[in-house]
Amino acid sequence: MDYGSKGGVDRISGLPNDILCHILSFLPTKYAVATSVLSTRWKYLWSSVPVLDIDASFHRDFFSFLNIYGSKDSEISFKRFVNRVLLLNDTPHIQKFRLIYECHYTAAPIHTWLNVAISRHILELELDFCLSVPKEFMKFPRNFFMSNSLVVLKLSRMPIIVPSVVCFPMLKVLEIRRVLYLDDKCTQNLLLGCQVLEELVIEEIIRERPRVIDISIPTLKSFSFSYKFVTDISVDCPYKFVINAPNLQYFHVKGRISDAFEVKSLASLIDVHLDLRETAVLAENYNDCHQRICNLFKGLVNAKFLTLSIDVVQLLCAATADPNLPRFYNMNTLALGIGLDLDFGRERLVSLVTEFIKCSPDLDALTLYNKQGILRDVEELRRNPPEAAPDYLQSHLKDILIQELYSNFLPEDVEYLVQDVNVLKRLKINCQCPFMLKCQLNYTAPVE
Amino acid sequence: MASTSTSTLSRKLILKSSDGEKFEVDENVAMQSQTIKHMIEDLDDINSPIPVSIVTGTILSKVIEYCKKHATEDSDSDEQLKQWDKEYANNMDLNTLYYLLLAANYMEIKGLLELITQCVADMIKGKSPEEIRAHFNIKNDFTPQEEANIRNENPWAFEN
Repeated sequence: MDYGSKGGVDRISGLPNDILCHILSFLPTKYAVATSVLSTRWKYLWSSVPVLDIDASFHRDFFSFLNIYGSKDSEISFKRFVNRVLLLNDTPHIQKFRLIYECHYTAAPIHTWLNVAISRHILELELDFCLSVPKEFMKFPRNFFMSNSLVVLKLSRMPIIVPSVVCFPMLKVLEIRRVLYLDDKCTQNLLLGCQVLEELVIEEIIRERPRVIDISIPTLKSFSFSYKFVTDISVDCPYKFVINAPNLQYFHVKGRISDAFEVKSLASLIDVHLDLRETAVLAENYNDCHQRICNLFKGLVNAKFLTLSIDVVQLLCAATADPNLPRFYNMNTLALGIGLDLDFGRERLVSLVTEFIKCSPDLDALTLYNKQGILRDVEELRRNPPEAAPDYLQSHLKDILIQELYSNFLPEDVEYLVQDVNVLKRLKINCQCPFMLKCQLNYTAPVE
Repeated sequence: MASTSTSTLSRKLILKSSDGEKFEVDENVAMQSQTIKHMIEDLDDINSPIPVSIVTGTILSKVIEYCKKHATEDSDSDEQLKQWDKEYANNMDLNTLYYLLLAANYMEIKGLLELITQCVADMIKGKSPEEIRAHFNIKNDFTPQEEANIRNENPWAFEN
């Protein structure tokens, strides 16, 4: 095997330019530019690479470690680099431009960089300014929001002003993560201009004013919304989601139980993840919240996989009103978060679980999970197991996974659930509490 | 003689390498090459060998190995296929990689081209210019002054 041994032949330099540029397009631009020093053959190859992937964290690490230059110098050196690679790049089409950058000291010519990218019919743009760019530095070119080439746009950690008219006729993927909206209509204006979008990710940092997020995009397949939960936050600020997305398959919301949802169409729904928290929601509003969640369920009847957070399950159990679940005709897998501090009895929880099983004729797998994994005094809570055996469990249910067996869902509850399930093939119980292991084994053995 | 077969899936094609070696393959295996696909469309008689003029038998057999694996992708999960790709590329020496690159480029087999370019890019990544030259036998034909000038033009690229 000739593995580049001494005196071997240099075959790589003999490859055609387009193959070499293709190879370089897999490298971060820093490494691609560094190949210019290999030999005269390689001197200008990097300027024909259609992918620019520039991550200033290389830069930061170097200087913070060696501490040779002040950060201002390193910023200037980095900016010179970006200027050069953008201005000397001679490809007619830039496929992808990814820039991760912090600029604390001086204004970056972001406007110019984006202008170059847009004028080269860029397909994919990913910018992350690490919340370092003050809003007066952040200027999008006027024609940016009218790009007819962009297919993927990812903006992170930067101030953003969106003009009232946006038109991205080709945009399929949009991710807006932790940006600072400079006015309330930014998201709305942006979404109105994305009428062929397939994937949407919105991640927010602050929640100060109630907002409406209108997802009315016929082509949308995947929607994920989340915001960073701050534990000491004390003000509730409900959002309203209006959803008219007949092709949406994946629907994931990390929000609050006070959020309102108006579902106009979710006809193609497959996977739903409702990670709603009760952070800062006033107890007196729980009944309203309960009502809203129950209404939302009516819009989710097509879901195949449904996951509900601990707080949603708590809310459903705590309310005095019947959850009045709709029939989930396609539901195959259900995962429920089971919390620890229940103000109501276990019976409520067991009856909610059975209610879900009743309403889901196609259910194959039920998972009860608990992420906190804290265990309370189990013995004390083990009294009064439910007596009557259910008679409706002639369902499809084959698989019950209880990830954390502990106080609120006891072995006898499991037994109650599985007693008449003849088709049950697998019951898996994970438990972090060793002294309960014995009771678990008693129940798992017969069904396995 | 034009083919009268109605079942397109079971049709066999014969590929002929630059050094005259012949390979009989299923049509759906060969069709992963855009170049061959276009050649077949223009051919009246698919029973005669299709010349793959710049690819030797040794390399062509490796290309076919790749195409066969990817023609029957239903049997494997994406994960398994990725693992297979990885082992396939790792088993090649540098010379074979160059010729495979040229073959994948000429035959227009997108998946194979991506796989091998990524593999070569990984060899460059994280290496100093000196290490890259040594790995690929690249001869430095710059004068020390020329090399210093290039480094000065893009100082950021040479920090690490």
